Amino acid sequence: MDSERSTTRTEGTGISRRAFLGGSAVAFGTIMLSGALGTATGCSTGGGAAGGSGSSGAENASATAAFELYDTEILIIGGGLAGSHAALQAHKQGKDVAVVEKGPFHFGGACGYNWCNWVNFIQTDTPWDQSEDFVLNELTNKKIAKATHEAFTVEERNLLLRYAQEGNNLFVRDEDGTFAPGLDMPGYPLFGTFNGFPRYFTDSVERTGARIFDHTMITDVIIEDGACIGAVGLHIPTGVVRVFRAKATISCTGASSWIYGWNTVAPTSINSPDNTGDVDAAAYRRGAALQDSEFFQFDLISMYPMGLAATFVGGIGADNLCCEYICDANDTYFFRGMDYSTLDRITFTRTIAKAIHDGGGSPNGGVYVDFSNPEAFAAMGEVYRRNVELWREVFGIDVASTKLECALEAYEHGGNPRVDENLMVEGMPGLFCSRGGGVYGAQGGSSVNVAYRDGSYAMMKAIEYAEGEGAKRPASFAFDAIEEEINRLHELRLRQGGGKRPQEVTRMIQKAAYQACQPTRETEAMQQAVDELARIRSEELPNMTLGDATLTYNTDWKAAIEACNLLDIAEASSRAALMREESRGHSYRPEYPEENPGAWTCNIVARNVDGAMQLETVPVVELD
Amino acid sequence: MKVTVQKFNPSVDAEPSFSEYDIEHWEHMTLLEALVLINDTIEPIAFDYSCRGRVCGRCAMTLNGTPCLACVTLVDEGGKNEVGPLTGFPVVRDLIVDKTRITDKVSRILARQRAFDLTLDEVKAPVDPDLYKKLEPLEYCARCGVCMAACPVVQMKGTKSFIGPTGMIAIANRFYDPYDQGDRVVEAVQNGLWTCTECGICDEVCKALEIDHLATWKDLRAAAEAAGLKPVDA
Repeated sequence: MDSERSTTRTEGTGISRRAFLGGSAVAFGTIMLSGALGTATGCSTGGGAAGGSGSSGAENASATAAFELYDTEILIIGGGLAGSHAALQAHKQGKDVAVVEKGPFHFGGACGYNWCNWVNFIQTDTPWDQSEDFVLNELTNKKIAKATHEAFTVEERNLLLRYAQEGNNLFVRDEDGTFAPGLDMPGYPLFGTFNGFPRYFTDSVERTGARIFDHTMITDVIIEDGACIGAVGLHIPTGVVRVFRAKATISCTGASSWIYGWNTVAPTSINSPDNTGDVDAAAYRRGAALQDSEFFQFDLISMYPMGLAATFVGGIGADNLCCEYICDANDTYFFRGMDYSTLDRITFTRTIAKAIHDGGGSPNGGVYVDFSNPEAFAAMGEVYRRNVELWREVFGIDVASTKLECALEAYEHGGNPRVDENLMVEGMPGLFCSRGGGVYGAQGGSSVNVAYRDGSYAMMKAIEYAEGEGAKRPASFAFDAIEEEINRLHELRLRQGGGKRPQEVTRMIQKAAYQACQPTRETEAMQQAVDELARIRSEELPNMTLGDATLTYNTDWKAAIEACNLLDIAEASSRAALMREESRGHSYRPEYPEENPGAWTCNIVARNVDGAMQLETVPVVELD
Repeated sequence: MKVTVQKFNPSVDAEPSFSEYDIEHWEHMTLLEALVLINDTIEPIAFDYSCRGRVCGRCAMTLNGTPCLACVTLVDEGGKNEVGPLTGFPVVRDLIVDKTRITDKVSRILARQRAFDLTLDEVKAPVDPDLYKKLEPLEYCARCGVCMAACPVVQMKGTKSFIGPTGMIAIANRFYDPYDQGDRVVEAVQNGLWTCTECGICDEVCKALEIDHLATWKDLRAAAEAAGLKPVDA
């Protein structure tokens, strides 16, 4: 892209530097696309001049690109669980925030699905190192674990009340209407209940008056003198670039599990198509280190019908409540006889992974859940049970008549920019991550119960930063970086390399990442996957050909931007998985069947060194 | 198998056009699978989806004129499969529509009206079990807008005289909600409770199978009548 550095701002129609800096609400501007892009449109009026009309491709004839500028005190990227709680925390502290959400209608992430989740309630307060959060393990950054736990009172950490106060209704009641927690064991510090609907949180955010920019995907972070002063995004419906300047920015974008395989409409993951690691990849390209990318979290969900594969909101699955009814292809019920009450998710996943590796796998690489036993229905969570009737009505499938093929679905991914104990990205002040590298260690990602806490905590720290070190920012404005990003985006939109469309390239990335990142990790297959990702980077990405060059809701353009991000995330994940020569977290490596604390009690980070990804190990952060 | 999709880019096209595609069919193939297959292997179509399981509402559209969620609607191997945008909403492009008109309204309705914050004792106190049975199903409304597109009153008169089933379900949610202190009966009447013809089409198209729309309208009407809010001509 060196030939396209000749970008100039338009005179007259363009916005002046003074107006640019003075705009407190919104400003508009145009940037002249580089000469190469002006003539590459194929229906340009010639010489890269603006204008052009009459043809169906009139939109692409313009050689200038419009952008919008917004200023906010604190920018929140992602309107899901963590993002909505970051916004609610800001409201509590009286701060002005803008929320950028990739999905439509203000709903995003875990709040974009109207699903019900498990809600923990703390009965007995515990010290941070005996925390109820389930994310503390040998690879967790202990400073973060302590700080995020101790920043809140036990009342503030009690999610049940938060859900109720923000609009949730009755949770689970018994026949008499009595509150009926699903987990309430004597001496256990927690109880929990189902039917927490996180979508109410987005309604709450709307009521706070936060400015919400939905349908907008972040494509870059803005760096000024080494500090993050906002982000650049693309408004998908119009194709207009939006520049958000902020004293502090919080990424709440969730997992990047969209890299993990493909089954007709989605990877082997419940995650949303929005989960393409946009901000993680952008921060990585600008110098942040991606950490803990080799770790995922899995659970067991149906693979058939394919259109509902791996989605627990439409599928049927088994968690550790159902393990009695899980069997392999040889009819071995391999969990029977185990003490289920102490069965954690990591043991659950690795036991299944081992059964598959030892020859008990189903045709699609899963195992079976025997729902012919009525007790299996009783054990199943409500989130699955409601789908039994749907399957009967829509697909004519009687779940009770069969053993259901289920595969290990990646519902979480642990890779995120490495952060310090303030959840601020290391080496990139001003950018905070509600779930940064080090927060989850080998756990492989968040859980509902900590997403809200870490969103709130990131906001508390972002406010401190915005009122302190970040108060004077932005001091000047790095126009060049904005121009560079706008040109990168439009170059992608117009890319006609003669190769595959971005969707096809994405499927290749997903297939490779699936091969490398499965719970059962065979070294040879992982090496092949890493080689394939390198080939995709050198051969497929530069030659992508988009089937659409327009600005209005251009799905090929969006897919092309995402393909670049997914490749960065997939490479970091697959190479880190290969590098870690042991079995840890949810993953089982037959060649290295045991955890090896002596050699591998460390985190793996991936850094961008002059455009190439380099991996290295770093020590786990312990308390001073 | 043949699938016909309405294509329309309002910024450049004078009117919508239709593209026909020939694709391979497989057992239990959903409309969403058909669209992803076309978009991946033939040419771009603007459509949106997220959850693949009827809870996000983003793949609402029409198949042969009937509003549906593409993720849980089957295509017909031998029959016609004409796909269009969700009826009654402004088209952004192809199958993408702007639904903010209803989603913003529903968010505002669902703001629980209370003088003081809920306490834990209130949350854990017993409730009328019948209330729970009526309220819990309404939580599953995905705000997808399929019922709005199917509602004959909304399609004929717009949403001024009747907010439509999505909004009325949100009002009913807070009407049943024992913690809400607002007057949701007045709100229901204001928003066209008596204008609804109780035809039940919303219930037929809704994929949140646990919601009983007609029983809900009946409860709201009974409460309105008890409050003296029944029009003489109703």
